[in-house]
Amino acid sequence: MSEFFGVTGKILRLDMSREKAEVLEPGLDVYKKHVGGIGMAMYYLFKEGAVSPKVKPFDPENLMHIMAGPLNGVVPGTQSVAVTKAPHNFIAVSYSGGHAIGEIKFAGWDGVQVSGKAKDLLWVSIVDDKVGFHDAKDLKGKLTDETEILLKGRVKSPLEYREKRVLTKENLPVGKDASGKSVSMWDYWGVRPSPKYAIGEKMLSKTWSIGPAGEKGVWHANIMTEGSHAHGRYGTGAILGSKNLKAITIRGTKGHKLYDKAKVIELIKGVLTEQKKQTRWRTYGTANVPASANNYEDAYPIRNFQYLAWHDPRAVSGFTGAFLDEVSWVRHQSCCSVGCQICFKMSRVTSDDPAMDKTITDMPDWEAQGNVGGLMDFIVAEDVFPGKTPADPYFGDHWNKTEAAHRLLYITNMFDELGMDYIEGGVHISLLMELRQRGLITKEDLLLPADVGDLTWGNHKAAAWVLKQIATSDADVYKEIRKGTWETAKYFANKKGKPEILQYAQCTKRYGQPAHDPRSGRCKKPDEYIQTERPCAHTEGYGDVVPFRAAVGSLVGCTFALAPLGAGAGLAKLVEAVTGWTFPEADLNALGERVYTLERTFNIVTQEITDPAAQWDSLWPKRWLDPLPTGWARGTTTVTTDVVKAGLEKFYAARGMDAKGFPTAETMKKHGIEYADEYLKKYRG
Amino acid sequence: MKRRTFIGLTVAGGIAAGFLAGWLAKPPEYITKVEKILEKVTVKEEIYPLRRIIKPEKGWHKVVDYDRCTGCRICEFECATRYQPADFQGVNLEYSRVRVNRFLYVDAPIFCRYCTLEEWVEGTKKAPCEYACPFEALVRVEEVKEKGKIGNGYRWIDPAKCPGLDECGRCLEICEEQFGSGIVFLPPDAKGIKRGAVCTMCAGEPACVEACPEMALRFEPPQQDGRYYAHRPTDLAEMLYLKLYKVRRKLR
Repeated sequence: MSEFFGVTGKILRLDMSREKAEVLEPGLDVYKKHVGGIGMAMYYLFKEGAVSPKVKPFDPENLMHIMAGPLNGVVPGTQSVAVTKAPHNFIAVSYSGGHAIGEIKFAGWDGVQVSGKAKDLLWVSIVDDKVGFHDAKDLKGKLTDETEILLKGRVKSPLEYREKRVLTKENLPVGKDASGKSVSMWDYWGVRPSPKYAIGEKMLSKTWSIGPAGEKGVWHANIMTEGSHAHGRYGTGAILGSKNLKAITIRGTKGHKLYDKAKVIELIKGVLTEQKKQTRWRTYGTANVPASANNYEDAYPIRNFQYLAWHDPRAVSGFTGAFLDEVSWVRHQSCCSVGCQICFKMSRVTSDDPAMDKTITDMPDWEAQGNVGGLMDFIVAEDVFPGKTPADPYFGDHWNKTEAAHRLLYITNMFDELGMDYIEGGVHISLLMELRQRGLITKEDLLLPADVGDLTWGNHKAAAWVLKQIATSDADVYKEIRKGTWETAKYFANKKGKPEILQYAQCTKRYGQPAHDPRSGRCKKPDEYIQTERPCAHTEGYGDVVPFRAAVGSLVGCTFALAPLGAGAGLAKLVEAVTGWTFPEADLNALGERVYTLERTFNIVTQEITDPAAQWDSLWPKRWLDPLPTGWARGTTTVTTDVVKAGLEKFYAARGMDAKGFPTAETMKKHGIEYADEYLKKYRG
Repeated sequence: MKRRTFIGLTVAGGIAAGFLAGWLAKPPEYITKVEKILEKVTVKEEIYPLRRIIKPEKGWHKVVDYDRCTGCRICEFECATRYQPADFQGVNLEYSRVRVNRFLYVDAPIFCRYCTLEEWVEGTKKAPCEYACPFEALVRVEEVKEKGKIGNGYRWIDPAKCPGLDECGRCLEICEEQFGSGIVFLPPDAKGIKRGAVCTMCAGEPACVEACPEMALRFEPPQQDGRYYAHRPTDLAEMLYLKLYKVRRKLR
């Protein structure tokens, strides 16, 4: 077998049913074609038949992947990617920062594949080649950060841990003090209470865990690491929960093998220098992008997308990076991987409300500012400014802004702790708020107790209560609401006999919309949410960017660190130096097209779609056709059915798809993925 | 003309004349001096004022500005790339003498803080690990052996003498029970021995300090004995959590 560099050539498969670990060795050819990350995960989803419509998302046969690419390890600006069949029965591809994926590479694996279903809740330890399955009774129902703290000290490598004690009173030398008297060190040191272990104080393990939401199978539950990094979208946590796997804790000591060490170190130094220049990201992270920019672009999601700007520009200042820095940020933390210094801040909430006080959490980043802060509208909260809307002038002072920022931090932290996606979750809660606003559901429908008040705009207490119920309650209504925005709308539409409820669910392809609205045309285009195969993804672009991002997701690079990584050319150079393969930039594009086509095929096959253009790509919210009530662009919208259609036609042609939106047989052959065509043939007709 | 107006005009005229004279004359000496200094000062020197004034000397040590540390592990990367075996085709952070223990929301960079014992009561001036080592593997190297690596009064663990963690490990025991967690054990060598290693301060030019992008690591004259800087990772993480977030958190 040839030696692998960059990648390790091995993927760890955890068979939860038999509580056994297996090794997958795909071979060099498969590696060169799929590289890693999404590509490799897609390969296995097809190869093992998880793509088949017979395999339901929560079945033991569904496969969960957390994958690394050749760059994961010591290259900065890299991420992990979770790939599986989502509870909503489409492809789930979700990235996360955090150092756990580097640890997986150091342990000698290119990723973890989870199959089967354990009888009881387990957690898994990985120390290099040693894999252990452990009972997770004591972790049941624990929040994600509690779980990680508990597991931190349980996994150690033999380099830093040993139970046997060597040092004794007898073998320690005896010195003489200043007066010449013999002194035994033991008398000074040994009398102190010594810790439990002989050796083992270093805490170098890293953990992925799910919260109560993942255990209960909330459809947008996520996999968390380091307290605030999430494989956030598409319910990856629910799938891990369905396999009864609470957490994976890793410690690796083998290092990252590199083909051309000197070249890679030189390239890495270049990336680090470029990162230092990213003052825009390093100052405020993604909290820099949005508040003011998006409010001016009429793209800020407010009150379940009823408004796209607070008409008074003063209102939004509480959610800007500058303001958050002044009232809550404590420190800058490295996010994604070894050496990455870009975009992460930690915050602390100081509040008179004991529930909110001392909440320690991250930033919030832009998606939280949009989909939690904006959609629930903590700025013009109805309990603070009764009867006001985002269209009115704003008369709040800095304390009002602080309160808004802290409500946002509090709710965002709740999502993280319970282990839920706050992008979909924000759309979800704000849908319920709008249904309450319009009187389409009652307080009793949601079983809201009196002390939390009603689910009005900006009421964080009610929002927190509902969130907790979603993650933990066994009430029938919450078993339905747990399924996310689209299913909740369907449930209430049926229950109340009011089909108009469905139009308030702001979903594209049945999943909640992220925090950039396309209506004004000045921020994102509708194409961005429609053309990507990951439903309603917020980092995937449109047109030719889609396959490029799919390629980045196979390496696995971080979208926000693309500039320091040198974009396409830089990535290709890194891959060449790391793996020793010939990998020109054109190969990167080819890889992207291949992975995109696999994703597309997956979605068509698993949902048994016979006309993708009509049944899948047409699923976008019709609210986009409504004119805006506030902001520069008030009274207009740039989205029309024709614009979307024209965009899609161009996109189909560029990706080698027919008019219905099926990848053609020639395209599949060109990308060398005939194995996927076997599944697709039946539906293409 | 009133007296007040006259005085006003005179003063104003005087000031104007003064400015004119100043503009015509050469810039005063102190300005040229400052300009000359500024020409020489690079960004790095500006951030390390001490570096500009005094050259690093024997006995300086590393201190961490915990407010600034982001836990990015660039120090680990630098240390590992410098000290790992030259024939290892890759980068293995296990070869780093600095280990960043990442806890949720706080990061504790741990390395040897150069503790010394008190002779008047503890009977020796050695470091505790040095004192407990029966093989005399922990040695202080006074002269510079290999520039940028060993010497200048800093310690190292002589791999020829250290029998490895499986045989001994007293140094780490004493360190972790009473001080910090400054010793690391390296991945098994060709003979399968996990030998100990300790920060050598790169003989007075620490690579990690140079590389730290946040200027969180500093190389300074010691203000206190190293033993007062040493903490076990969990203890340090709990202390930092309290300091940074004003909350007590138990890690075990």
